[in-house]
Order: sequence, then C-alpha cells, then structure tokens
Amino acid sequence: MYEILVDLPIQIPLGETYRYMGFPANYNDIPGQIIRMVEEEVSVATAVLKPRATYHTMAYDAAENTLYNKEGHLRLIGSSICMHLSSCTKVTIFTCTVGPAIDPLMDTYFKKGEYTRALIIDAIGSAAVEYIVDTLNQYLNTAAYRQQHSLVSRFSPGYGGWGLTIQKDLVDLAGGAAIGIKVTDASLLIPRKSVSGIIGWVPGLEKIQQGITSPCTLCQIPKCKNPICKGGAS
Amino acid sequence: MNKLLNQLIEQKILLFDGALGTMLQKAGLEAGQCPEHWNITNQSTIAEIHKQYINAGAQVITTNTFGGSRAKLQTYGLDNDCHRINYNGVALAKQAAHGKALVAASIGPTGKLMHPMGELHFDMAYDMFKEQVLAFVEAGADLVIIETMVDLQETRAALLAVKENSSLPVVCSTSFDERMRTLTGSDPITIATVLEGLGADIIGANCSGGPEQLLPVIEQLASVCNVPIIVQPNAGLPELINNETVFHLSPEAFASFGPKLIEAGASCIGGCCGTTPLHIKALWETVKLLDPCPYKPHPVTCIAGRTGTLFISHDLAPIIIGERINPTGRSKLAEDIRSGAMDLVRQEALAQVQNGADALDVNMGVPGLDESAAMRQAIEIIQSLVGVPLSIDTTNPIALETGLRYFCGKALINSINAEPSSLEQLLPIAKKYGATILALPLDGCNLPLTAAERFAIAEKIIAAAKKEGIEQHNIVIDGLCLTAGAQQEYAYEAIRAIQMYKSKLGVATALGVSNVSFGLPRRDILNSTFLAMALSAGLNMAIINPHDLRMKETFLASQVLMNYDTGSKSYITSVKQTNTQTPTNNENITAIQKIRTAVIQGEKTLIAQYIHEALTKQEDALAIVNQALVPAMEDIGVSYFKGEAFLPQVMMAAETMRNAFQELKKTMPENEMPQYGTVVLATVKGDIHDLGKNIVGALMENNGFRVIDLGKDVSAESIVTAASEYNAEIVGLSALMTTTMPEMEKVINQLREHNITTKVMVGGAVVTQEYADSIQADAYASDALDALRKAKAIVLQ
Repeated sequence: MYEILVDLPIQIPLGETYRYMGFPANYNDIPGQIIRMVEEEVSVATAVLKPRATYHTMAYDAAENTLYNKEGHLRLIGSSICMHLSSCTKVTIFTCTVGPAIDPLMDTYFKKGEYTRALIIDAIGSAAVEYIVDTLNQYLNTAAYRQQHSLVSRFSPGYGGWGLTIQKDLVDLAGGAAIGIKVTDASLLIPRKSVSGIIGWVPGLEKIQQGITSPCTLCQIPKCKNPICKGGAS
Repeated sequence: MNKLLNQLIEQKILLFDGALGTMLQKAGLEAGQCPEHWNITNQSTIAEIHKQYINAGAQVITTNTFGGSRAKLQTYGLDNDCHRINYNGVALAKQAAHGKALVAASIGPTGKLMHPMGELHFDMAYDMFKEQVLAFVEAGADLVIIETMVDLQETRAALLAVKENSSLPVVCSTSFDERMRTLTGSDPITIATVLEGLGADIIGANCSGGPEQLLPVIEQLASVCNVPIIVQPNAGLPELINNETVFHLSPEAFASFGPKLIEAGASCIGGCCGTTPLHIKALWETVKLLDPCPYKPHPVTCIAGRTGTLFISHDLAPIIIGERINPTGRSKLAEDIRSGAMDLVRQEALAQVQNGADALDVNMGVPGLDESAAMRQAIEIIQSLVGVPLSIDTTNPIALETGLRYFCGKALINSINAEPSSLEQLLPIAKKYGATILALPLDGCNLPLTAAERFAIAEKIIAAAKKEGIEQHNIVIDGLCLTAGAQQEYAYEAIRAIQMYKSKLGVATALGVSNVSFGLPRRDILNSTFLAMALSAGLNMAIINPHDLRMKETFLASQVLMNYDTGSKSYITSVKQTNTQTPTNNENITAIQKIRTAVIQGEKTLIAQYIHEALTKQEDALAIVNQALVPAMEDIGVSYFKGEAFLPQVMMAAETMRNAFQELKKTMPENEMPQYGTVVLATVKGDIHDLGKNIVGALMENNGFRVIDLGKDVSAESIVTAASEYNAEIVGLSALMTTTMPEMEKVINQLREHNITTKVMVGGAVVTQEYADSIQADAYASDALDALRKAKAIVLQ
C-alpha cells in the first residue's frame, strides 16, 4: 500500500526560483525590484501551497521490466527507463504536488498585467514541487541506506525519452489520487505543479557508476527549453 | 553577577546538571506529551529529578521550562498556562535545591523560524521570551540559561529580553552542526563576539553532538571569549535502535572527556541529551580538581554579521566598507527609500558585496522621513540578502538604537564625535548593544585642521568611552577627510592623523576617502591616489565605492605591495576578470531617452510620470512611441538575445510598456497607436501549459498587436472559428508535450480546408523548426521575443 505524506515542510529555494524564471544559474546581477517581488510572492505562495506526496516501494524484476507486489504490477516500456533500472531489485514510485493554488494566481496576475509576478509565481511553484521531490528523495536515501541499498537517480515520465502514456497507471499505483492528483487524457498531471516518478534501489552501498546519471543525458529532445533540463541532446 | 560569579570565582569549575528530557522519558513521559506540562501535573517527579542531579553533585540545576515559550506551548494547547508553567518550573527547582544549588531558568528555541526565513519577527520573539523572564524573576530564579539555540537572532531576542527585564545573570549556549555552524549559518567566533557584546555573562555550546564533537567548538569560543565558557555535550551521537533514539556514551566514557573540555577553555560543564545523574557524577570526579585554562584572549577590534566576524588589526589586511547605501545627493535612491520600495537598496547591498565590500554602510537620512523606521526596514532587508557586518550611519539616537537592535551582528556605529550631546546620547547605546564605535574627531568647536588637533579630540572620545565601559579595542578613529578642492593644505593631515593614531594609540583607523575629491574633476584619480596613501599610512577600514574600478585596483594592488595578499592570488584573479563600471548618472538626458531607459530598466511605476513630463515638454506622442517605446523593446530584445538580459527583465519591460500605452491613450487617438493586426493565441487541445503562451500574449499586446487569447486545452475547431471571426492575421499555437504537438497539424489542416489564409506560428518546449516545417507552419518561434519579432515580420511583409 502507498504511504501518504502531508504538510511537508517547505522552504522555497530562491536559486532554483530564479533559474525557473529564466536567469542563469548563480546569476548575481538580479535587479533589486525583482528580488523584492520574489520575496513578496514567496510570502504569498507559502501561505497557499499544500505540499504533499505519496510513495510506494515495490519489488522490481529487471528481466521483465516490471514492478510488482501483491496489490498489482506495472510493466515499464521504453529502453531508457529499462536501462536505467537494469540493476535494481526494488523501486519506489511516487507522486508529489504543491496543490492547485498556483494556476489561479498566475492567471490573475496575467489578467491584471502583472506579467513579472505571474512569471515569478509560476517559477516558485516549479521550485517548490522540486523541493518536495528532493525532500522525499532524501528521505528515501536514508531508508535505502539503512537497508543496505543505494538509489539511482529519479526518473519521471516524459523525460529522457520515457513516454508519458504510463502516467495514469503510475499515478494510480503510487496513490496520487489520495493527494488530489489527476491525469488528463493527454497524460498530463493536474494540479500542474505536480510530479510523478520512479526511483530504483540497487543492493549494496557502493556508489553507483553507470553511464546514466540523469534522465537528461538520455534525452533525445533537441534544444529542450524546459528549465529542468540540465543538458542533454542539442 | 551575584552568587553565580562568586561561586565561579571560588570554585573555578562549575558543574551544571544533565538532561531533563531523558529523565522525563524514563519517568514515563510519552511521545507527544508536553514535558513542561509536568510542572503542573507531575510536580513531585520534576522535583525528584532535580534532587537526583543535586545528589550527583550538580551546583546549578536547570528548570523544566526549555519549551516554555508561548509558541511552543501553543502546539499543545497550553499557551494559557504559560506563566504558571514557567513560574512552577523555577519554584519546583528552588524547592528541590533548598539552597544547595543555583537555579538556572531555561529558555529554549520557540521552534519557529525567524524572519526572513520564517514568520517570527524579532519583536514577537522578544515578547515571548519576556513573558518567560518575568515569570522566572517572580519565582526567584538565580540566573537564566538560554540554551540549544540555533539562530543568533533568536538568541539576541532572548538575551535582550533577559537584560531588559531583569538583573539576572545570563548564560547563552548554542547548538552547532557538523560544519560548526548554526542552522542560520553563524560560526562559534561570531556567536561569541555578538553575544559577549550584548552582555552575556557565560557563553557556550550544548547538544550538537558528543563531547568529542564539541571540543573544537569550545576551542574556537575560547579564542575570542573574555567571559566564562560553558559546555554541555550529549552522551555521544544519537542512534536509532528499534525506533528509539539512543545515546551510547556510558557515564565513564562521557566523563573521560571532561579534562579535555576544561583544557579547551570551558569552566562550566554539564550534560545534554542522553546524560543522567550518573554521567554528571562521573564527570565531576574527572574535573573537580582542575583549574580552568588561564589563557584569556587579547581583545581585537572587530565587527560581525550573522555569518562571519571581521577582525581589524594592523597585522591584518584592511577592509572595504561600501558607502553606496547613502541617499545624500542621490535623488533616485532617496525616492526609493522614501517610497519604502528599497529596490535600489537591495541592489546596492548585493552589488557592493559582489564587488568586494567586506561590510556595508547604511544611511537612511532622507529629509522628512522617519529615519528609525527606514533604518529598521533597510537593515532587515539587507541582512536577509547578505551576511556581512553593517555600519549604522546615523547620529540620530533613535535611529541608531533601532538599527543596532534589529541588526543580527556586532555593528560599527558611524559615527560618534566629541560633542557632549553625541557622547551623552550615543555612548550608552553603543555600550548596550556591544557595537564598535567609529569616532569622528570633531567637537563642535572649530574644525580640527591639523593631525595634532584631531588626535587630541580622539583622546577625549576614548576617555569618555572608557568611562562608559567601552574599551579601546571597540573604538576605530576616523582620519577626517577634508576636501582638497576647498582645504588643499590640510587634505594630507588625514594621513598624518592615521599615522598618529596608529603609532601613539594603537587603535584601528578608518577614512571616508571619497570626500577628498569633492568638487574637483576626475575624482577617481584623486580618490584612488589618496586611498593608496592612506593604506600605506596604516588605514584599516576604507569607506569607499566598491564599484569604482580605479579604487578597487588601487586597493588590490596595495594588498600585494603590503604583503597582505599572499602570493598575489586575489590580485591576479581580479585583473583577469573584466569589471564593468556602473554607468554614472547623467542629469542631461532628454525626456525621450528617459522613457526609453525606463522601459529597458522596467521602471513601470515611474513611466507614467515620465510620459506626462515628456508630453508637457511638447514631445509628440507618436515620437514617444517611435523614438522611445518601440526602440526600447528592440533594445531589450537585443540584450535578451545577447544573453545580457533575461525573461524577467523582458516581462518588466512589457509591464512598463503597458503602463506607458495606458498613459498615452489618454491623449493619443486610438488610430495613431501602433497596430500590427490581430493574433489569436491558444494552447492546443489536451495541453494545459500556458505560461509561454501568456508571455507571448503580453509582449504582443504591448507592442501593437490585438491579442485574442483562447486559453489552454483549445480544440482545433475553436481556434479555426476564432481565426475567421476575428479576421486574424496570425494564429499562434503552443504545445509543451510531444503527445499534444499533433494538434498543431490539425489546426493547420482545418484552416486550409476552410480556405482561411491566416498565418500560423508555432512554439513550445518540444517544438522545433524541423517540426514546424514538417507540418507546414508559416513560422516557428523559439521563445517569446522571437515570436514578437517574427509576428511583426509576417504582418509587415
């Protein structure tokens, strides 16, 4: 059965927020008025964000590319994800969200002509949900360590060539509905500031040396402009 | 410091008790129960635990009030019992001690993050601690121990609450992580520097880790502390065994570290998590015959911010104090401060530190403004951005006290002079907050022209400060920079004065270098030359503009030539980098140029005023559009494509354009506004991402296009209908996912089927030129500015 985490502590990472806004990493010349607006919007966002997560750890058969337990199973399709999990004996599937409050705020700002605040609040939402995923990942790192396992880097549908169509089954199995996550017919998550993914467990505590360390290194999408993209094909 | 100090002096080593939480758990405290509530419900158990520690030898016992702040008690629904819990905590301890031990009333963290990381403001924290302190005083505590604190600002609030509401001695004990930093980034030296200045009687560390982990912390504290040091380690590092936290050091193993901790500099010792009366008894056996370390550090002039301390000495490299946060003669900054926006203040704080300022001078002297409120606001903003020490630049006692109260560090007061009113009003404030004073050698009589006259005045200030209890190491003396343009024969006296202060008094020196060139051309040449002279004479603190390239170069070169920059590393690194100067203010720009610059810089609140001014000066509205607004967007576009500006600045410019057009519409006929045509925008069916599409819409709408935004998840049929209905010149389609991209081809095909000749532009994270070509789109836009550029190209064809 999946576990549910609610009211997760959140600290909006400002560096990531600036990056999602379009500034390069570690950029030092951010205008003072933008800094002030970011501070204000962080206060606004902190009051309305609802950071929640679910996760479900299951056994993984690498030969069959299938995760399973007594409640169900899910076969993974896609050479990139299968290669990524090829040494894994367990996986944790997860969903995370910061709730639905960001979209209406963004819409309101655009309607009022406050484009910069709209950009900022969207960036805060993206940074916040990644922060929650990072928090969950760290928690799982500790759990894995205690069980003499290491984790491979997390992988989400839609990245690194892993198709989006698995999203519905993945979210169902991970319990996303319990924290208000739905999947559209086009396999997109609602609320928009939500993430689903999979983290593989490898037996042993040695640092994993694989050719694959990030979904982005497998990505076949040229010139991906998604801010989360840290490299990849070009 | 009453009985506590007397006991310390007599006994030399003072033994505190061990953990209360551990003992309460052994006595049956369950997870989720409020430990402090037992001061009401389980009084005999509390008293019994205290007695056990006294029987083990503890000379100071700590009350069960660690979590007794209103904020903490509120989480258990016990905030209405706040006074009773804290009072009882002390009363029970006194009852158990029966005169055999001193009672230390414990204050712990509120559990809330202080502003700006969290919602707890300084005054709120102060009030909560004050509530506890008043209960402690009423119940007769012998001292207060502020312990396990992880945020220097919260500790300051608690310490001031004790000092201002009681005469009790106060112990301040901090918890550090494995990097020897608190949660909010303070190191032990900074903690000691700031808290000793604020009047803590004993300073130390507790919790954090086992005794071995605290050894280096105590060593660092001892290197700067002139007050006794306390250490209360845990019984080793915690381990999770069968869902229980276990501290594994036995009493004997714990106690074996006692002598090392005393040798490292502690004279008060006890235990924290996991320790029991057995640990304390064993500890006493190992330390009771020891003498505290006799070494007391030689006091050195210093200033501190939250994350570090700057030592000022003739053996150490000089420092730069950035002078740019000063509205004198700077109307834009004055307006920024007056309006409360503080945008330029933020910018200057970050930029000056980035350009090498070691500390920042903060002056909020705007005529007619509440200087105290502005000072508080500025300091809270600046210290949320940078952790460097601040120089509070005011002679207004209220503004000064406000600045010192809310600044998380040991500030420099700029400045105190020898006038009786300055000494009487400002010295006590400096003493209370432990600030370092910048003494300005003026006495309200004639201007001291010579070095000897300045020296004489400096001596008076030092003497007055000593009477107030401020030691010489907390004083820096200003050379008093006169302008070479008006008093050329005395300009060099500042250098002579610095030499005299250094040789005859041994005090640190400072100089506001830029004053020397006031009124003369090429100020940069004079400033940098004077700086070199002053550094050679022994200047310790250079108050300069860190953006001034020439000054920076002179400073760095001086560091090499005076052997401060070992291996010339900083100099070599710096000269390899290009350093662009901030453009100087040009008051002669035209109204059109002003508008163009305002759009580029995103000055959306001022643009209406600039437009109005331009129209008043007979500028033509169409000229404003064609010579200012349109070129400004082109400029920001060029900057964007060159990677010098980024999307947020483009958005600020778009907002400014919006406000500009709104102002122009009041006077300009609709048909004279730029009109490029109609664009229908949509995120295609199945796709709910619309940020990119909204940004494109914002840019187009404020650059002469009429935008019909259909929203997200829009069917091909709806898009085609809208294109026809609005007679659109362009349809703009956005898709973020490979699964939704195919909808774009559907739209194009349906437009062709209906013989609608509207051009189609596509864009989105996964869309490429190749894909656009494959579906026969008329244009592909890689980003919002590219969309605007190509849209204009389409309609102008």
